[in-house]
Amino acid sequence: MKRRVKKSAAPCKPNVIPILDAVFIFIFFLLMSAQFLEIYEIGSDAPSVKTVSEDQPKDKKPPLNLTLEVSKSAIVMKTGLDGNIHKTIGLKDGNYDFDQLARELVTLKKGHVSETSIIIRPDSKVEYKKIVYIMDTCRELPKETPSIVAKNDKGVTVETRSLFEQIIFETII
Amino acid sequence: MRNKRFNIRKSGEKELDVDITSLLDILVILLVFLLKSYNASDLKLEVAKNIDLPKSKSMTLGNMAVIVQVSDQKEIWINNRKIGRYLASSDEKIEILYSALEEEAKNQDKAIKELETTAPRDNNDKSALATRKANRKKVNIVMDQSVPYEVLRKVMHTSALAGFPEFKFIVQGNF
Repeated sequence: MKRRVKKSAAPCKPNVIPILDAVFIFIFFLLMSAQFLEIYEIGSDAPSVKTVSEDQPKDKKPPLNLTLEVSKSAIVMKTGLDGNIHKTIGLKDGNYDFDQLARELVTLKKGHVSETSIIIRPDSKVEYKKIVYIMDTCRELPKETPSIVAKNDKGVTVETRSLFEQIIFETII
Repeated sequence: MRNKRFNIRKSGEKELDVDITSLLDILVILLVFLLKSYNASDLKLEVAKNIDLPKSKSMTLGNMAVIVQVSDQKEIWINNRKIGRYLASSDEKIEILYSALEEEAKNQDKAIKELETTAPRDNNDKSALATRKANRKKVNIVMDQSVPYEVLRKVMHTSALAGFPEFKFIVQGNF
């Protein structure tokens, strides 16, 4: 069977007025709620104190206790309960060598994949902008770096892109 | 004049056909742009004058909590209300900030108690109470990028003493 197609029929025009009304209302709503300055947050908690009794079993692996001492001329990375100097990162073109800091943090994270906290101890004169850069470097892997794959304390292989997300400022209280 | 126009339409002449394709194009582009800049965060922030936020890679959206702002001239605001200026001293606690934050903490506790005593009418009331409780100890710190750590440390110290030990550093994204 052949269907007859009306050749002379005028093209069908859909009524777009209700859609336009809806779009206009949507635009007004979005214009009212739009925030043109992209604002985000970085979290940090005040250091808490925990009393550990002698009877409690000790950890098999010594804690990383990673501390960054930030002065105007260098970042000193310290690890362990004794605060042994792991690395001193100097300036590069007038700014801290953030690439080297990221590399060192990745190396430490590979050895302690379950560890999420880092202590930052800046000098009084260090600018807030530089502290934010350091926090950014400590929190996440650089975009070009592949994810870290390592075994955690329980022997399970984990893949992560975060480094030390829990930032604590030591000198607050 | 009116009658004349009316007559023309009535006379069976062809209706004026407006081509709205280009207008629709503009609207769609505007819609996409606005959808991209839409921010789902409940944090409504009016950044004070002379505050240049530091840039960051962070993508974590902020939450509504008490806002402490410090400008490059070390002027201090709480919830968009100027309370004074930071004066360098050997004391770790900033007195004007402490008293303002203490008052804010009292107000927040009072509001939470009121919400708890009045029976929640619907899910919105319950979520409002839960949000208030969750954000009770948070403080949003909005600070100029040139301010030294000494001021930040004292602001954090004072906030923690006044009952706000969870610090949220507000930064400018898209870095």
